[in-house]
Amino acid sequence: MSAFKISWLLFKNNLRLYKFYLAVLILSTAIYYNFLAVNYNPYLKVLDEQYVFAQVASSLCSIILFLTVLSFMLHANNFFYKLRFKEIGTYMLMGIPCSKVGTVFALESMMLGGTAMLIGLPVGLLFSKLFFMLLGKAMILNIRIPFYIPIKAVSLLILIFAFIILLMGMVNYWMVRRSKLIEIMNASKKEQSLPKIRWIRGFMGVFCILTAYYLAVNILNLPFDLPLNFMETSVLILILIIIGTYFVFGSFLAIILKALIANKRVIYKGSRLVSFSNTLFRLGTNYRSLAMTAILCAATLAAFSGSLALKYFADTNATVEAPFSITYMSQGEATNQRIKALIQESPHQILTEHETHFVKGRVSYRNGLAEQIETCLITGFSEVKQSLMVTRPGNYREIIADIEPLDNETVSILHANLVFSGISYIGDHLVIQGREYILKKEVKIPFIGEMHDIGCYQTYIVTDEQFDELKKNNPVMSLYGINITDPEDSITLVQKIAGVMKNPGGNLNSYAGQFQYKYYLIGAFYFMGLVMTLVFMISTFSTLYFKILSDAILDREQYKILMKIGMTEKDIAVSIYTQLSIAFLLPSLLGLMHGVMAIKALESFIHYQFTGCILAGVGILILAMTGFYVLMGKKYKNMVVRGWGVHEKV
Amino acid sequence: MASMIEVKDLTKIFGQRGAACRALHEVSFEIDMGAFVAVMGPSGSGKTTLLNIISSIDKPTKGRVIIGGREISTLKEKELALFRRDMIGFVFQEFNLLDNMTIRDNIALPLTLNNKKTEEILRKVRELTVLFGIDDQLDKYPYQLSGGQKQRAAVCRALVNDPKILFADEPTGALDSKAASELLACFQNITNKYATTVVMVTHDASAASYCDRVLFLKDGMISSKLETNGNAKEFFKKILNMIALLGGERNERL
Repeated sequence: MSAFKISWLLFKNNLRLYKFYLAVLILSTAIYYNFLAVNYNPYLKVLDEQYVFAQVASSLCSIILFLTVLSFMLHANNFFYKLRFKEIGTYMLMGIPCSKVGTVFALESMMLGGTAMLIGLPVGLLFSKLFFMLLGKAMILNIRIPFYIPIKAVSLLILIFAFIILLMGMVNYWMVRRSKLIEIMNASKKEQSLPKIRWIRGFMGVFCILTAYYLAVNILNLPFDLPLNFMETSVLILILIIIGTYFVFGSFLAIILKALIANKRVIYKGSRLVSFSNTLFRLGTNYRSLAMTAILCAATLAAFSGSLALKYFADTNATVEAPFSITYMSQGEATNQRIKALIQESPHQILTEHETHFVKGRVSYRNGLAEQIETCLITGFSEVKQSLMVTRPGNYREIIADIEPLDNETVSILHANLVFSGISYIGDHLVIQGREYILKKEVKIPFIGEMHDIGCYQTYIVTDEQFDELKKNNPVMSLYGINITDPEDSITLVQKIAGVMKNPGGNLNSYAGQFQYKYYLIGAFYFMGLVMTLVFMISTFSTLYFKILSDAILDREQYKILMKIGMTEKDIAVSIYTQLSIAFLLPSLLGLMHGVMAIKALESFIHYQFTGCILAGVGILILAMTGFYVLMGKKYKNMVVRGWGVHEKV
Repeated sequence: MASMIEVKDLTKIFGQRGAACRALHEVSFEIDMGAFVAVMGPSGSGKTTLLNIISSIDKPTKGRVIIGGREISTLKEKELALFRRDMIGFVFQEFNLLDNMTIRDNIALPLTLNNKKTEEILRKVRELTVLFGIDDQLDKYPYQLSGGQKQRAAVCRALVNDPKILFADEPTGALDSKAASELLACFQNITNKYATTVVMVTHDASAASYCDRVLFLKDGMISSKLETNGNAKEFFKKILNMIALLGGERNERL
């Protein structure tokens, strides 16, 4: 029989074994195709600026997806190799040369990859209709995207997968060629030894993680005046987290488990002894996948909560940038009347009107070593308070209580155009119009909003008495805010108002304009982020799946012994669930912590609180993980008690 | 003396009709409490099948096994597991110690599964390991011990929950002669000290000579029995003669 025929037979026989792996590969192929397709869709190309955002998001996602799929395939491949280790030995004993066995295994894995692509591509094509519809909805595109198959995307997908498939084939051939018959025969007799206890590494790991968390929470106020900017700090945190996670699972966990096992009072209860000893001994080979699980889990949470946070940010930031449906700088009573008349003629009705006052001034502060002097806006506490009572952002009562300054204090309202800022000046001394203040707080609240001529200045809040003083010597500026019904659809009205104003580009702002613009920008990232969450979650689960099942294979012999000495099936189940909860929940929990810290850093970066998004992300992940945990436990138990089927055949 | 194990008309047939293989054929015997009994016979005579059935690992096709007054073939799977845990200890040729636990934890394992108190577990482990002379090896892992020490640890584990019967399948098979004789002396010791019944399958005539009684199996039936008169050397000779009579050669791995 030719190598090809044997591989085909094996492939057909082992399909049951491969079904989960195949399903994940098909899904990944389908998603990957859609990421590629975004770059080659001519109907999207007409969108110019918004299209660039979608392209950047999809390219980023496709690179991450490619890497995840590759590492997942290598992991799974390794699992199948272990599972079929004895089979290779049997072929060798039968006198089949190593090279032929290698060819058979290589061909089989290539058939597997090929099948995944042959099914995954059509699935992806069908799926693309839905994908583009959702993408369009997320970006609020008012065009219909017809069904279209970009030949370039399809051929690129085939090319990339051909490369992966070829690589897997080569890896398999090489693994079989490298295996020695004597090692295969003795595989089950190989004695494991206790992992080395490395105290320094273990505590270094904990130290790295804690330091990273501390830096993440205080990312804008680094301790010891570390000379690092925001990007450098983020990279430092990432490196610390990765090293820390590997050390914690490689060494710190071993220290803890060893201490627990030495404490007989803790360990001599039910099946704990079995579970803890198993975990400790496996740690030598398992810590890498535990750490990888933790990091993938963190990535899942960060992608999910991050997407939610971006959307939340876009929603709330729209009111920061446009506090009222229509905002304009006062240009005299005549213009005001004409604007009101225009609104009354339109289908919209006026809900509220508000007028805010402030003065232009100069602020000076230290930026590093240099003294910086800037133009700024100054207003009184009551002005801000009254404005907030009208615009009413989510927690406006708390905000009002927080921002009232004392005589020597000031609070700065960050200007609305600012999306990210890497520096904070809280606690610094500043001089405003010749008077010295301490900066009490920096807030991002709806006040002036995006207004071309003055919107780029920070606004400083001082006490009402001081503001009254300032008004005497400086020209007072007024900003009108009008809230109307259906502000989202008021673009036509806004255009009419622009017609009656002088320099409307610099003096007029509307919710309708801000709302749509934000969504072009963030919608693409939001949607892609959700898709990436799915991808990360699948990778987390499948990495765990194959890791845990490889353990189950190793555990079979041991549980056979345990059953002989009187362990019931129920005891085994308890032992397996305990073992799983150590090997499964620990990385998940650590991963969740990492993810939460990442969002915390994002919070200080964007000057927003994302507590709701974090809770939603953590909740959903915990639910998914719990479900997966129970399923894995069942599968593990069945494998240990009843076997995999394929394993016995050889 | 009261009988511990009663085997009546035990028959075991493997495979389906047409390709059936009769491993045991109407085997009957009794073993007293505190006895040390060896089962011998050539390869394929049904020794291991017999041991598996009387130790409740396998079920007979026909016949009854009564242990300590309870008929075990009627017990359900869960009752059987508990029965094994409380009544029976096993020792295997391959030791079957768990590599990832210290000797102390290996021996303590059956008791921890029964949720015994920690102090009681530690006391029991201490008592047995002193008896078997491995109390200074407790914190080592199996791979750090010699074969004889590993097998004694395995016996300690089998005895830790005070079983009434200890089943040993070729316990000396992987040991050198010195370690083997030490182990067999331990078996004699526990039959005297705890009145534990020991049933041992062996190929080795010298190992069998430590026992009170030897059952010879051939082609699934008991072909003869021998009992010691207290003189081990004489008993050893008798066993060798019996092996010769049964058709095996002295050096044949029976």
